[in-house]
Amino acid sequence: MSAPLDLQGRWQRYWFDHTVHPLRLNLLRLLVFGVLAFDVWMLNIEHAPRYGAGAFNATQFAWLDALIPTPGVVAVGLAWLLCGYMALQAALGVAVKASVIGACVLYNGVYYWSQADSYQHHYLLGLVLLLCVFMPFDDPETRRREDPAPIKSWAWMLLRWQMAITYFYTGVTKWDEVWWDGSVMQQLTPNCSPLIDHIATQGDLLGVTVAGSWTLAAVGVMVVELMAPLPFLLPRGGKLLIGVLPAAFVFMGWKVMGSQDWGALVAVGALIGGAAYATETIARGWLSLPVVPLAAWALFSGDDIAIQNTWLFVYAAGQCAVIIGLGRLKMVWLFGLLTLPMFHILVEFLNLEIGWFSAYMLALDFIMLTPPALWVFLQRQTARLAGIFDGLKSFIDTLAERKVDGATRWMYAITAAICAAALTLALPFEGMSWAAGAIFFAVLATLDGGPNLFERAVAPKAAMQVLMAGAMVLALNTSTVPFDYYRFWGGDLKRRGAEATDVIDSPEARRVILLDAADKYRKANALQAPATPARHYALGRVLDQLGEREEASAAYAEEVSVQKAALEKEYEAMRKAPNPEGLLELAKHYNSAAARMRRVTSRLGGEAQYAELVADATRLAGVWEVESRQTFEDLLEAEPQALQCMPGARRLARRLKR
Amino acid sequence: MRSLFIVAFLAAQLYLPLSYYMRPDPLPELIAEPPAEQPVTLPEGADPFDERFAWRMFSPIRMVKCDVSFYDATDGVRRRVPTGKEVHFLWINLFKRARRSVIDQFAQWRCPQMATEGKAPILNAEIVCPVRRPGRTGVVQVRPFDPTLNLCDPS
Repeated sequence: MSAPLDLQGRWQRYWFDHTVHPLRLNLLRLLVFGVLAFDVWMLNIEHAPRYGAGAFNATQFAWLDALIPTPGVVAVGLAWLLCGYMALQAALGVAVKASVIGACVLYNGVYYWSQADSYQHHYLLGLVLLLCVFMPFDDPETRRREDPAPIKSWAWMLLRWQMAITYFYTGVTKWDEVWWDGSVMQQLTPNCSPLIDHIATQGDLLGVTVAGSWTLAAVGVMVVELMAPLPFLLPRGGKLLIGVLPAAFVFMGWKVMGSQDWGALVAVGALIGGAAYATETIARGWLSLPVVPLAAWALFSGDDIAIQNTWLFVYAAGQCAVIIGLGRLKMVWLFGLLTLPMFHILVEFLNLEIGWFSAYMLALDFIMLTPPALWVFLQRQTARLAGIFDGLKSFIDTLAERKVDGATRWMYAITAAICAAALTLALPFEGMSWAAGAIFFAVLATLDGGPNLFERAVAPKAAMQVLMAGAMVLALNTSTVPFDYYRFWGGDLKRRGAEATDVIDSPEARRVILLDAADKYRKANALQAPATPARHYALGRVLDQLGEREEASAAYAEEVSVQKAALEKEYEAMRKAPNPEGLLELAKHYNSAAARMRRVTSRLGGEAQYAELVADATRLAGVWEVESRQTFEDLLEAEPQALQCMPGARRLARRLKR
Repeated sequence: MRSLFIVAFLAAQLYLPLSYYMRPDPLPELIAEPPAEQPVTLPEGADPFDERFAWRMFSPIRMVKCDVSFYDATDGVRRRVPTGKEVHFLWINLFKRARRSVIDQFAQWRCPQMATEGKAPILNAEIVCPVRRPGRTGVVQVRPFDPTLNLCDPS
């Protein structure tokens, strides 16, 4: 008699006995939350003014629209600022559980609040953060230096499933004849990208046409993505996958293809099932071994073609090994590690502008796909490295052991909270008094009252909080984020207040919007260093619309003087170190500055009191137009392919022609 | 409880992308045909353009940019709605991706402001999307929905 299936036991073992090395968890926390902190600060906050602009919003689900109010700039900016702060706390190990929950709620809250952000990678990041809430980041083993025991974590297993599902469906997406012909991939690739030559070279080697080589590349991407669940889910659950993957593939193929070509579907499904079976059961790993030195050689040779050929070879060899049963299935991670990061590297290479998503995915691929032995090795090295800091640790421990009475503890906590809040007030965004208040209480809650409070001294914790707030303020105030925040805001208001519509039909309403636009532009301009291009001309336009002629002309005059100084500086820099990108930028800047000068001339021309300004603007428009042409010619001389290869060059050429 | 969460999470993650493929999708048939002279209107319920939650990064549909015009026909004369001057530019970009949920929400937001005495508001949207055909054989012009549909009263 066969043993009963014991499904419940299997389920329990699969999810709840699954273990993860503590160092993986530590690195996951450090990288995901560390990147998140600076991601939301440096890339998201400047877009807060989109939210609720014109009192219009669409949430991610229609039923939510009726339930929650339209988001506002202050609320969204505040949420992202605090999300970043919580994420940094989590990354650095301060009040980890509360910080992870806080960052997750704030990030997902903003995401679902509005389709203003409907990037799929932000959705994925929201899911990763949700799963992180259930990760045992604060398990005592994560702090053990010598030979920590693996930690049970069902959330870790679920994260592996999430990654597998995501990659698998991105492969399913590409089961589309339009993808297969390679035209979409070609469209995604910027003109003159080295990838174009590489793909053509591969085509030559294989004896196919250029179009055929794009087809091969496109189909290759699809196949790798469809196979991606294997390294995430094997060897555990391999038998389940042998059944699930082919079935899922056949079903998806049928739905997506819309055809009834069952023979083809079953054949490909069987191939995937066979690969999974081979991977699961009969593999032996020797074939993968020569790949490592070969890949290392290719990477260090600096030869792009060699790298690509090696990758193709690795991929083909891995596939053959898996299919004919020569690769040990425990080595399936190698397939994942050598192929999946390529997508994210390619995305960066193609400059597809999806923020820092590649950084998250590369980190997740590395942390999840590398073999257990590596983590045991890394743990030993980390412990050895940590030994160097033993002196510092014993100093901290001494502090920790010092008996500090309640009043002193409170003094530390309140001082740190005040410092962190005061630093936050140095940020130039709207609603920073709210942010300062929130950070004040967050610091207090972390330093006093939390369960980990007495594990370490309050003083180092307090110092760390102040340093974190300092890092936040430093990162934001030395970036262009505050300037962009106000100029984007002003730009939207200027557009919406420009003329009467059915929605904004009263002159009073338009005036309010334009006054607000002027306010935002003034703030943006104030944030720019002297002689740095800002939004003086745009401010002048708004003031003109408000009938503030005197102030508008002052803004135009400022534009003239700033442009003069900025272009001279840029010209000098380019003279010293000419390069095609810089020449194109300079030519564009001359061209747009000349256009603005002409507009100033036409706005103020004929008014005697501005005759001097108009004369100056007219002269500069002529000079800069000539300079723009000359610089563009210099560019074409330096880079004859500029028109075909450099984004924006063709548009500038058209403008110059006009 | 934990098992329940795992099941719910996995079910949602498997179902949400799948639901995209469960919608009626006449596009494969349409693009297989030689392009018609006039744009083809998709039947009610078909919405291949909303790819959220389906992990369709860099899909062929993602590359489609539609021409979009809204018209206010409340007074019996079709007047073009200057959407660019009414809502943030990001929503215009989502209109260009034929995101139906945003279009419907825009109508819900705008229609009450269009109502004049005794006349029910009428808002139409003319959206034409060039959908690529396979084998690099041009595009098919597709309308995600009927341009005469009154978005203020879709029933």
